[in-house]
This record gives sequence, C-alpha cells and structure tokens, in this order.
Amino acid sequence: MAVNSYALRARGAAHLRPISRPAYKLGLPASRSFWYALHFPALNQDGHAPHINELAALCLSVSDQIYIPGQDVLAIDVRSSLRLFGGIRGLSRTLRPTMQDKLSQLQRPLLYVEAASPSAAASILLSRAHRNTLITEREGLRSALGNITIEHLALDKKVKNRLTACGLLHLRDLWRLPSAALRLRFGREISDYLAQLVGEQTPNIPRWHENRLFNQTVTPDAPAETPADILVLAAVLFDQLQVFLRNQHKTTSQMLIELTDIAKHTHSLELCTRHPVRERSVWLMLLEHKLQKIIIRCPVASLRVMCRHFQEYCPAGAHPAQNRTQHPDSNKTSPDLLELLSARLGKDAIFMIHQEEDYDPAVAGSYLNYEEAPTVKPPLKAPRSRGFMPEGKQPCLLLPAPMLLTTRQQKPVYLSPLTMLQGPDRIETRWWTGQDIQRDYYVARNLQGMRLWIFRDLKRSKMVSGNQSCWFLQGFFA
Amino acid sequence: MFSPDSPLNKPEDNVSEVKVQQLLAETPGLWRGNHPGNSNVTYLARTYSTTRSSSQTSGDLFGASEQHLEHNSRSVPTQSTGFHALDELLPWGGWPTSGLVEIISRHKAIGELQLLMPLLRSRSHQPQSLLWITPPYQLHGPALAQSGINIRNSFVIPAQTRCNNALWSIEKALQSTECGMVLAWQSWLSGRVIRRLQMAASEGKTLGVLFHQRPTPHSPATLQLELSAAPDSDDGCRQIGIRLLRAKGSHRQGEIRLRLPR
Repeated sequence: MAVNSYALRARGAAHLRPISRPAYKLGLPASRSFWYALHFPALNQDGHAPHINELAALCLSVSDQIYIPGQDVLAIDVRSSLRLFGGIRGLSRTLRPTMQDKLSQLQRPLLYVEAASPSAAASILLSRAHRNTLITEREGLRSALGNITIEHLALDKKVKNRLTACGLLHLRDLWRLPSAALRLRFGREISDYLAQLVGEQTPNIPRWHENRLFNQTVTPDAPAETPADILVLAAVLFDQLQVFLRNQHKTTSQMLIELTDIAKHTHSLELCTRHPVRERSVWLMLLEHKLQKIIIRCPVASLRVMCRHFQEYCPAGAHPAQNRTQHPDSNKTSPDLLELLSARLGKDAIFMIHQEEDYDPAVAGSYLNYEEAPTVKPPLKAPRSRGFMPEGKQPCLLLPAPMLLTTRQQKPVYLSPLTMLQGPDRIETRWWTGQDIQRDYYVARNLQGMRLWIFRDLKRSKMVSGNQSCWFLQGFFA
Repeated sequence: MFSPDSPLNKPEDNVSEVKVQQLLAETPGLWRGNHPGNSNVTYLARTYSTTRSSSQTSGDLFGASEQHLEHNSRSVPTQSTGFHALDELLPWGGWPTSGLVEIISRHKAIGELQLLMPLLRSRSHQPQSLLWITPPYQLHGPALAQSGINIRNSFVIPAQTRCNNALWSIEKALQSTECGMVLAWQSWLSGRVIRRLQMAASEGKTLGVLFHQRPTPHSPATLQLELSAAPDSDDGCRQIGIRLLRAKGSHRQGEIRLRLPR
C-alpha cells in the first residue's frame, strides 16, 4: 500500500510544531474553542464524497462537534476533549490508528494532514496548505498563516484570480492592507474570511450529524398469519426504533415496512406522518390501518422496518404542530386524524380547500393535497378573498366541469325550466392563454327550488347554430 | 290517561296499530295535549309543539313526562343557529354542540349549507378542523371564504371515496377531538349505522351533520330536520321550509319557513 510523505509526517507527532509552548504545556487553549482539522488530499481527487462522512463518524469518539466544510477536510472542536486525551498529541495518537484502518479499508492512500488552532477557518486552511501545525493562541495565527499562498484560501476562484492579478500572492500581503480597503475593492467576503482566520470573527459553523439508517428485520419462529400477529412483530421493531430515535435525539415522519411471506413475495408499506413522531403507538395504529388495505395471501415469514430520514427531536410544547392528542384513558399518543385517514384511504384521498386569485371559477377554487397544507395550525382568522369575486355571487358547490344544459324555447332547463333571478355578470379572462373565457353568469332557479349558477358561453354562441344550446351549469347555491 | 273524547278510549273500536298511527298523524296534538295558543314559536305552518301541554294542568302522566324531558333537553349545551325562528323551533334553543344532526332534503341546493353558514363560520375559526366528507360536488374555496369560513382549517374527502371508507372516516372524525365538525353526504343510512355514528359523536364530543335524501325511521340522531324548498319572499329573499322531525329528549315537532340572508 502506498504511503506518501503526508502520511509519514502525520504519523510523527514531532511534526506538530507548537507556537506557544507554555500554553501547549497547560493542555488547554486560551480561546473558547480549539479546532483540530484533518485534510485528506486523496479523497478530493476522484470524488469520494461519502467517505468523508465515514471518517467523520470515527471522530465522534473524540468530539461530537464536527464540521465538514468540504469533501476532503473535516474539523473537530476538541477543546473539551484535550484533558481526557492528555493534550492534542494524545488525541492525535488515539485517532491515528482508526483513521488509517478506515482509509485502508476504503482502499484510499493513508495520507492526511493535521492542523490545530483556535480558529476553525485557520485549522482548515493550515491543513489544506499541508502544514502540520499546532497553534494554541490566537495571537500566533497571523504569523503562522502569513506564508500560505492565496490559492489555498477558501474563496471564490475569481476573487483569488483578482488578488493574484494585483500581486497579492500570500496571506501576509493581505494582512498589510487595510481591511476597509480590501472590503471596498474585493467585497465583504474576503474581509470576513480574514477576520475568521485570525479568530476575530466567529462564523456560523453547522454541526455535522451522523446520518444513520435504521434497518432491522425480525423473523418469527412461526410465520405470522393474521394482522394481529404482524402487529406483534412490528411492535418489537418499533420498540427498537423508538430506542434508536431517543438515543439519537431524533424523530421521523416516514418509514418503509417490508413484509416477506413464506412464498418470498415482498409487500412494501410506507408509513407517513404529517409531523415527525417517535411514539410506537402512532406507528402501530397507522400500520394496523395500512394492513386492512392490503391482501397478504401467505403467512408472513419476516418483517423489516427501514428508516432513512430523521428530523431533530422537538420536545412537546416547543412546536405546536408536534403536540399530539393523547387518549384520555391512557397515556398513549394517537396519530393525527388526517394521518389516520390517510393510512386507510391513501395519500391522494384527503384534500384541503384552496383558493387562487383568479376570475376563472375552475382555477380559483381547487383542492390541494393535505400534505401540501401547512403543518403548523393555521391562524384562526382566515384571509378573505381580495376582490376577485363579487359578494355573494358565487356558489359553494361547483361542478368539476361545466355541464351543458338543454334548452326549451331558448330557455335553459335543469330538471325543469330555469327562471333567471340575477345576472348577467360577465367574466372575461385567460385571453393570454389562447383558451379565453367569455361568459355571462346568471343565478337561476328551477321548479324544484334549486338555485343554480349557470352561464351563457359567448364564444360558443357565436359558433353554434340557433338550435344548439350555449348554456352551461357551473355550480349550486347550496 | 287519555282524554274522554278520544277514540282511543273506546275499547270496542278495536283500532289496529296502523289505524292508531294514521289517527295520530291526522290529529298530532291528540295525546300530547298540543295547544297552539301557548306555543312560543311563530309557526307559519302546522305546529305540533308539546312544550305547553294542556294536560300539564290536568295532571296527565304524559304531560308530566313531557315536562321532565323538556327540562332535560334544556340542559343540552347549544349554539345559536343564527336564525331566531330556528332557535325557537329547536328544543334546546340552538344547534347541539355535539351529536349527530340529520338534514334530509330530497333536492340539493335548496339552501342547506346556507342554513349552516353561521355555525360553520364560528366552528371554522376554532382550533379544531372542519371535515367535509363526500360532498356531492367540489367545494368552491373562494365562495366559502367569502362567507367567512376559514378554509385553511377545512379538509375534504371527495365524493369518489367508497361508501364503506366514507363511513369509516365519518366515525373516526367524530371520535376524534381534533375535528370540530363533520359534514357528510350520504344518500341514506340505516338506523344501526346512525346509532354507531351517534355514539362516535358522543365519544368525541363532536358535532356531525349528515345530509340525506331520505329520512331514516326511528333515527337515533340527536336532531332530525327535513328541508324543503319554499317560494321566494315578496322582496326576492330566498326561503326554506324546515320541519323538525325528531329531537332527542324532546317530543317537540314543528315546521317553519325561514328567510335566508341574501
């Protein structure tokens, strides 16, 4: 296996050059955080993006504050771990064997560069510039970074080209220039980055979380023959998932359940909730309703629960959408009504009433899938329609498509001849689509006492002959 | 127990049960001691009220039970219908806040939703959602919003849903405390199904409104109303005929004609 110079340098802790020896001896950096960066130059060469996550997972044994700014570098805040590992050298020694094992397992070169400093940006830059350097005080950052060339900076390529074109080749060239002038000429990005390098500005560092997958299978001694048996099996896995989520401080809103029968046929069921949840009672109830919908011809030999997507757990009361109802007689949390209905009827069977600002009634009133509806409880005051519709002129019930009415003595008929009560109200719209609408709307009443919303299609009336109707029924004033 | 003039008091007549029913239908105030003059409801048509029973004064057993039932029915929590005449017709002085209300109308679009509009307005602005189950046609959001209904709190199960799924949904929604009101359209439901839905509504303390085309005999619903189209008033206002068929805990019956707002 090829071992190049970077790996060799990384192995020797003597290459980690302390800037301030007294501070290093104390083992505690003076700043609030202390960032230990690892750069893996080989990972960036042929796009091994997921590997950095696997390497980051190994660093969880050192600290849970991990930052991954790119696919070839990671930084760990190790300040609170230094005492435990006996300083940065001890920490480096602890991490090295596992890192090398992992790299060899991934069949990647055993090369990586270490750097540590009180600034995350500086540690990353030092490691990317292949400097195995330890800086324990903020005051030492400026001089340690001064020799690094502009090409290593985490800046836009155009900015770096402009800096190089101006004869600014190293960071020390930038330190000499006034910050305000730099900002004026090259933008705020560069001045902020320089401030972050020397620890004068703290960037918002997103914390990396291990994306773990829950994938468990249960195989009973005797195949499950009834839905009740399947639910018993599922309860075992849901218990495990609940523990998994609690340990991860997470929740989930979707999971896949695979039922494999003795004939090796697999039935996949997807359980979805509107809000993330981690109570097994909710999943069990949803699964119970899902099972009612499917036909399993053979007894189930194994059951698998797979969960890929997780959300951060939000304690009860912190988010109104996650407040679930509890059954008064027990402490069991029940699923939302809409989740329950969706489990039985399907995702596409529940809608939310919606309104668009459009003069065309078919467009103005449409349904939205309930999952597209906001999950947070809506404000109690509903917005009113803003002038697209005259007061009281449109009905509550609309036909999916206008229905052509027959005529008798030039009068429209629906069950019986219609009497016009109000109208006409003209709607002309959609001329820009090529399918323009020109209609005269009327409120009409028939002998049965039904009040209807009908229209006369002006476009059609120009085209059809005298005997053909151009009257349509659009809706009912219920 | 019966009035001495009543034909029922003559055993030799040997009136069959069918005939008794016919007789009661022809003379509705016979054994309920109806006294139109004492009614506090302004009726436009026939009135079968039993609230002010003349038999109360004569110590009639039925009268006493009527009084007791009436007293019980007054304790039902209610919400005003928004129509004074309808409030007076209903034994509790308004819509019950929970339970099952059956609205029967042979024809749609005679004003059945307009009748419920004040109730829908107030319910839709509460945290609990409104569930419309299998409405006959698509609900028009802008028109509902124009009427003051919070459509962001309203969910619909469309008419294509199978009947058994629709009934299951009605039951679950009525049992749920998340749902403030359920409106469901079914052409006809048996008494057994209605009893089950009524129990679900009692469990969830939810108000359910069922729209039917045919009445269910001996319905166990909290309230059973029959709607009929009525000619417009002289000033062109829409009118609707409402007949109280049955109200739980009360023997009151009656019929009114209501002017709906423009």
